[in-house]
Amino acid sequence: MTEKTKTINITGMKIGTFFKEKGLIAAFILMCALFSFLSPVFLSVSNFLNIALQSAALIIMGIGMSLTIASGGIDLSVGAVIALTGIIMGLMLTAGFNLVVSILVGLLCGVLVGAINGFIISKFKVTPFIATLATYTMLRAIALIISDGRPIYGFPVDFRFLGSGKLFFNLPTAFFIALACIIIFYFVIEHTRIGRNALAIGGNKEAARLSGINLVINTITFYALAALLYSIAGIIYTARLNAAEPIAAMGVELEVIAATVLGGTRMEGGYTKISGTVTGALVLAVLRNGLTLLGVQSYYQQLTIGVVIVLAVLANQIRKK
Amino acid sequence: MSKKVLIIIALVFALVLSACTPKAAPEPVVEEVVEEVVEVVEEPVEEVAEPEEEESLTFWQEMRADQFAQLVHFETPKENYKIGVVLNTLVNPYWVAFADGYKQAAEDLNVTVELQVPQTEGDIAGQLAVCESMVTAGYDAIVLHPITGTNLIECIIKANQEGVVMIDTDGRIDKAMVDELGGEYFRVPIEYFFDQGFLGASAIVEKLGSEGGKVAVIEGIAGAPNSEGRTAGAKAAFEAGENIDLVASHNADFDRSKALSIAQDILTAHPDLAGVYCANDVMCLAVAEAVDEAGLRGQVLIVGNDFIADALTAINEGRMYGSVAFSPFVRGEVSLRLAVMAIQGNELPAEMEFLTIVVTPDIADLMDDWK
Amino acid sequence: MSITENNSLLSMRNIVKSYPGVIAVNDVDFDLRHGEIHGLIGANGAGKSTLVKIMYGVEKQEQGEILINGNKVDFRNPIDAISTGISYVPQDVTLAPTLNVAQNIFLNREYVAGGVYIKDKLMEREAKKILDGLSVDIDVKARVDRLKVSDKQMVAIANAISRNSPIMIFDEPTASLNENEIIHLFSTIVNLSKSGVGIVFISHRLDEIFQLCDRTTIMRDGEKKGTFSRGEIDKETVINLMIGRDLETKTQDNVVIREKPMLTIENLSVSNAFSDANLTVNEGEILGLFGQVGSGRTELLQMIFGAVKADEGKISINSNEVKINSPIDAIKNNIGFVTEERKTQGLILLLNIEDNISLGNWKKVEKLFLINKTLKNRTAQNFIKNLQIVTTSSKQLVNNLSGGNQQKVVLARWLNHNIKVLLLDEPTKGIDVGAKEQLYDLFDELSKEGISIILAASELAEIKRCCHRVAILKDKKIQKIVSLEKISDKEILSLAM
Repeated sequence: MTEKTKTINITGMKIGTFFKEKGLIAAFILMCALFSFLSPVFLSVSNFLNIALQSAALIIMGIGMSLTIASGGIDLSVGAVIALTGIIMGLMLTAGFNLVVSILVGLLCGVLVGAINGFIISKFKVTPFIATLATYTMLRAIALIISDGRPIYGFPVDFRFLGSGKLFFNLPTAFFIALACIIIFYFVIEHTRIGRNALAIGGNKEAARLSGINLVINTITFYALAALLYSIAGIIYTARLNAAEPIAAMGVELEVIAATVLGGTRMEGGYTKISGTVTGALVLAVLRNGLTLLGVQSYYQQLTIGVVIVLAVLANQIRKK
Repeated sequence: MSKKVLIIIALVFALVLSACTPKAAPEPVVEEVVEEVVEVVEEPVEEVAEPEEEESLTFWQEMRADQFAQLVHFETPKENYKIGVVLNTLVNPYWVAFADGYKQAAEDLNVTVELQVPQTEGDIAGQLAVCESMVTAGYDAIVLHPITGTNLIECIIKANQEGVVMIDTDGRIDKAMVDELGGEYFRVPIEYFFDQGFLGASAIVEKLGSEGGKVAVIEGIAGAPNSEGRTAGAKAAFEAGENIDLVASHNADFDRSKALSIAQDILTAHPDLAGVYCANDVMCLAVAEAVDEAGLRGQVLIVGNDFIADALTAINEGRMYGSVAFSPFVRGEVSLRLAVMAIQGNELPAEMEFLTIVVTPDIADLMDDWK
Repeated sequence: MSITENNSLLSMRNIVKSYPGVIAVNDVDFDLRHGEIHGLIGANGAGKSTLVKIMYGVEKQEQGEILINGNKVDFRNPIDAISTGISYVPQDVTLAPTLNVAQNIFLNREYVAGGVYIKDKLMEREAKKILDGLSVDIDVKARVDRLKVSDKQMVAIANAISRNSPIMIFDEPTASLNENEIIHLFSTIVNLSKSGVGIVFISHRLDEIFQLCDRTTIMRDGEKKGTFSRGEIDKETVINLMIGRDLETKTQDNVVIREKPMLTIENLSVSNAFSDANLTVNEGEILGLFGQVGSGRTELLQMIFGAVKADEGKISINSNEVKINSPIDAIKNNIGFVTEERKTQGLILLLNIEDNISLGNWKKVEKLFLINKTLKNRTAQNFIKNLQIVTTSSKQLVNNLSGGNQQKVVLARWLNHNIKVLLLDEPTKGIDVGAKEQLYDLFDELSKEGISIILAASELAEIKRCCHRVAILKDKKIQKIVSLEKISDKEILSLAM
């Protein structure tokens, strides 16, 4: 082996190891580099603001989903909670309540829904997939009923502020909301007993039970926290659209699960990484954004995203070994 | 949950809803439009009476010429402008024809056009994201066809900051809200959803005569202006009719399979159904299938919206009774021209008359080249 | 030791618990004194595990009461038991697989700062101290699902011991441990009892029971057959009470071993798993693989069966070389493998006996591409009879059978495949004495019929009872292959340790 081949081999190995360990982040950087090369506007401030806005809600929802999946379950009621939160906030505002109260009530409803999910799952031992699917169906219906099928307008102009309004450094409020959620929940999942219990229950429910962990109270907590996050995302959704639509966030569940899985969370439970979920959400958002900038038709966009997800999951499998 | 259970529950809720929340019909408009209907339906008959002229234009060509004539201040573009268009979907033939119109116009005028859609017909946040990305991509103008009245307003605000011209050639966007937020865009209202629904349903009412009968409405996506408007118009027409009994009105999300299921269930409950109005043809074709399955072809008058090619075939074959037509192709051509005018600063018409007729079997042979 | 009520730490009276079709615990009394090590023995299915599960609140008794220090208690779940001061090490190691050793030891009792922030570093230091106290060396930061079985066992034990509970329950704690670890565990247990902790100790290794326990309770078929103090009873009587009849000490028949080699492996190895294996098994011969935990017994068997593909070497059946790259190849060559973990690797617990026996061999019971229920049933009935599987019906879910009978079902499946070579990995693990004997008899029968058997075990007694020759393994290599008549126990052990 010549010196040159050796160096190439070693460099190759180094790059290989880098990809192996930092997998998703490396892929993300690569993707951004590719887009900035292909599209002159990708690296613009305006575009980054777009990405920040477009990914904020997905990141927040992803965190909630990560918690439920880590605990050995799953949550299909994401979109329904978002729609319902929006509608409830809208109804309260049009009824004359002030902004803060309306938002709080909206969030509270989210928490309540999540608690009900957790209760059905742990107390009546219904599989999370079915339980949250049922909740999803009912909530969608309730949103349509109480809104009469019509979107609710009449949000105060200040409400926009919660979405695209600028806070610090000219960055949108939604960005900071997402940031706060990331920090708080990183802390919760890695360093508090709530997160610890989730990993234990998701890894081996019996082990958790034998250790004296209360399955019912904990499960309710996980799903309630997750729904709280979905509600927060719902605030951002509503602020961006400046209207509460009963059909908001249709089908968003799959994208949220995709972001979570991309980030390395195991579907069987017991393991999750908030940083991974955030990266996964960013990857999806940047992918969509970049492909739209390049004028790629939306159906091909979908194809590309599907392929990316499959590759990422395969990569995770290989890394597992 | 099985689909049937869901639909039954949906039906139950809908029945409860329709019993609890009566919708007020905007009456003054009813009278006006009734007159328009009579006018409009008469015109094509007149034209048919002069077939001998050499090189006579077809009905469609005439209509097209009429539309272009309304663009009084149009000037041929001096540069190859880059124009973006945000549509609803490319799965529905109506929207495909719309897109084709845009492309044809782009070719004719020597400008570039880029068409984008969200993932699904109901993905409102997705459409906003697409729009925002297009604003960043640097088009001279973007034509907006929003799914709802408000979901692209954010995009308008952003476009204003970037200096991209935004234009609404439907009239769907909620102008009051945009004004409140200090946004600017061009608006040329062309579509009148209420009128479309009213026309379509009126055709059924007229055909049924004084005997009347049971009718139903198949709606689109709940909350979407096109669906809501057409449904309201149809219900108004049915209400104005004699002995007309509206037995069902459900959302099928502009989706073929959902419409099929709903139609089957309605027919099971009301085997003597006399008429159905659907908010678009895609759904009506599914309803026609359900009617055929039940062996009731000919008994049920099915009128749709959009007049896609398959609808013409169905009307000729007797599977459908009619469809509300307002050429999407021409609309696309007109919209692109309006965008060019907006970029160049030419004066835009305050609003446009867009020919909307119900195509029934008696005038179907005039429509062979319609698109 | 005076037998007064006041001394009683834990007292169970007239406990009854049943499951569909079987009364698991039938009017049983049990009591535990301060500072006592109380052994609990019985055949599989005797009810010991159920009894201790009731003690810990995992199950709830239908009748009867439990008193702790004279006070009546009602356990609805383990949380109640824990708060009363009971710790439990279950038979099957139950840990949170994605958490590390320290996190598992302190699961649900984490050190928190400000009531919220978990102090992982502190926990790691404390965990190390606990493990040192048990003379165990495990990386406290290692993820638990990557540990070997004996280490997992130690983590579970460390978890229980570190709670400093007044009552401790150990269910078969030594099943996966090596000699050294067992010695240290016992000394810890003895120390605990000296400090007043009451300990319930379940084991099927009678030597351990006799060595450790102050009193021993024997159960059979859900009933208590007697409680005896140390020295009051001997091995034979215990076994009698456990299985209700005299055990025949079976001597090895001098079976005429055929000279024809059935299976030969040469230079078989898998990097990092096993190196350079050479052995031959003749028709009708039972070859033992003896070695401690980690010596490579399972790896060797996996190589032969194709569960792990060999990097080098060759395998021959009937003197013809064959390629075995996967279990499918092995089965085609009439090799069967009864794995160590029957619950996770050998059986589909939620299926019934019939399905488990015919699993993968559907052609035999198919008629016109459809599985014929009568054929399937008949096949199962045959084996139930021949192997004496104890069950109410062939449609019984395998999950509900006792360990010994589950193992018989696994054997039945392989016999159904008409195998010529049978690989056994710790086939009698967790099985009671009576059932063990039945299995040994079965192995003898099979060898008489000409089937070659390789039996991997860590109990020398088992090897000696069953095998003609033994291959001694250590550090993933075969040290020596020799006829059992020609080597002493001491020599075998010294080669293996």
